[in-house]
Amino acid sequence: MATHPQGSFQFIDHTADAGILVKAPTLEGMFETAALGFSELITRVDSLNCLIQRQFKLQEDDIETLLVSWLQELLYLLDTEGLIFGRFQVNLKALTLEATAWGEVFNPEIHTLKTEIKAVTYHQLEVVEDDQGWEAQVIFDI
Amino acid sequence: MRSGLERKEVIGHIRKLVETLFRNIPSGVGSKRKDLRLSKAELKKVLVKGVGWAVKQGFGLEEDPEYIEERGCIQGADPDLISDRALERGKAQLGTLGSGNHFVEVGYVDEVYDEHAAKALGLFLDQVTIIVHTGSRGLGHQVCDDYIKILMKSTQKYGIELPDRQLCCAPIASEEGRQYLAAMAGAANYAFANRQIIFHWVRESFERVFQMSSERLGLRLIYDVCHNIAKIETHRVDGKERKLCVHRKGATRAFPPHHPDTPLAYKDVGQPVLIPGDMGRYSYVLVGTEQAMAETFGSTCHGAGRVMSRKQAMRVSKGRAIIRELEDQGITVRSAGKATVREEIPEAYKDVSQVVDVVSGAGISKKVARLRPMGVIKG
Repeated sequence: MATHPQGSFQFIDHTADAGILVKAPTLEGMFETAALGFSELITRVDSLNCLIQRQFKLQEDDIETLLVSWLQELLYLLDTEGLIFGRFQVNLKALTLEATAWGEVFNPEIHTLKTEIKAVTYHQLEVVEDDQGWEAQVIFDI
Repeated sequence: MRSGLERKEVIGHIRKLVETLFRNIPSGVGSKRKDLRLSKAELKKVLVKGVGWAVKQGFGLEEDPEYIEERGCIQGADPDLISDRALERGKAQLGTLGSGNHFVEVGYVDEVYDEHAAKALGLFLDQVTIIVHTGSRGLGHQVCDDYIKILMKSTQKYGIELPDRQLCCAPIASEEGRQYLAAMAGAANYAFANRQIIFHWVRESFERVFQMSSERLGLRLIYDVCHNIAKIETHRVDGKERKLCVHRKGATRAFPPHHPDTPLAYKDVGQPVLIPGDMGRYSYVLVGTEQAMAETFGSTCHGAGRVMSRKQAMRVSKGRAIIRELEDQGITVRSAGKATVREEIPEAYKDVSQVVDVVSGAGISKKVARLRPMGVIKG
């Protein structure tokens, strides 16, 4: 179990796919931790030199879709610009997300590729709130 | 692909060959060839024309499309139904292998089950073969992501109840259904072109190592077949010809002898089917049958399938030198990601021989030859 100031995540063992289970006291923290879990699936986040900054603004009709869209944004930037992020700051107002992420261009000479994520899916997707805060599960196609 | 080479002619060059393939065919995150850059307009042509585009650009031979499902181009693709985001992901990844279970494998025919069919496919004992496994890359996944969003709304609109949101859908004849099929055809055509470009680089790699033209090396396409795709086809149902949408998920097409879509050269034996196994065991060449047409809408399985999760595979392989273990079995492996080789260890997969015996026992495809790997590149 990895720990993050805003929450914690663990990988879900799945025969053909990969997944993360995220817990955080706040919804913002859950979005930040999910992003961190996503990056940690791909490479060792502590090997990243987070010098490049990117801003995000997203809006969706429900919180589950917003979580998937957020992770899809990160995957899109990895696929097109090679960017992988290690630090995140998320602000949520209802179903609008505004975020900043810091990271760098993935370099196979320096960074270990743990898993290539092909897609973020809605399969067994869950976002729930309990008295501890927020919990989410996301499955990736790999 | 087949070659005119025998195992003994390649065995001494296998390391150099694997290294050359690894250099020529980009694999792993963010890898690309500097000499293949596409504008958006050009990429749209790829989506419409598939392999035809690639051959016109000089990737491969005029005869290649004859040996590809749908001649490497599914009709009706509409690039305007594919988002800018998908195009952006696709632009950088055409001609790349990707990671995970995608691979290029050099092997040899170690057993022939059906002499007649093997001869028709140009296969013989000890012959060196090449298998390429990759698909539509990030472009295909983006098309999927984009249409899942649309189809989740359709699911509500048409009152379809589902156990999982990822299963969202729409009637085939609806506006959304038609649009999705036209976008999917574009992604499939991209995948055909992607593999065609890689076939070309396989030929170039062999030419470089053996200092001989690919014609003289006899590098010809046996067959390129899709999996995980929906196709509009005609099948007999309850004695009547019907037009159907056949979705082959985890399955591949296996058309019988004399089917109009089976290549002329194989008309007496049936459409070739390729079932790759894990990198330590075997892969199989089979052909489609009438029974598949009657029982499974002309379909069979497409691979071995995993038995271990990637995490389990990592645990089992901990502390083991997998590349060295495979080397001891005469299999040279080169991978962009260190973890990939451990996640893809042979025991993480079902034994493909058992899987193939099931489909041939059921009569939905017929064994032609078994291939044993010699060299593998992975993402």
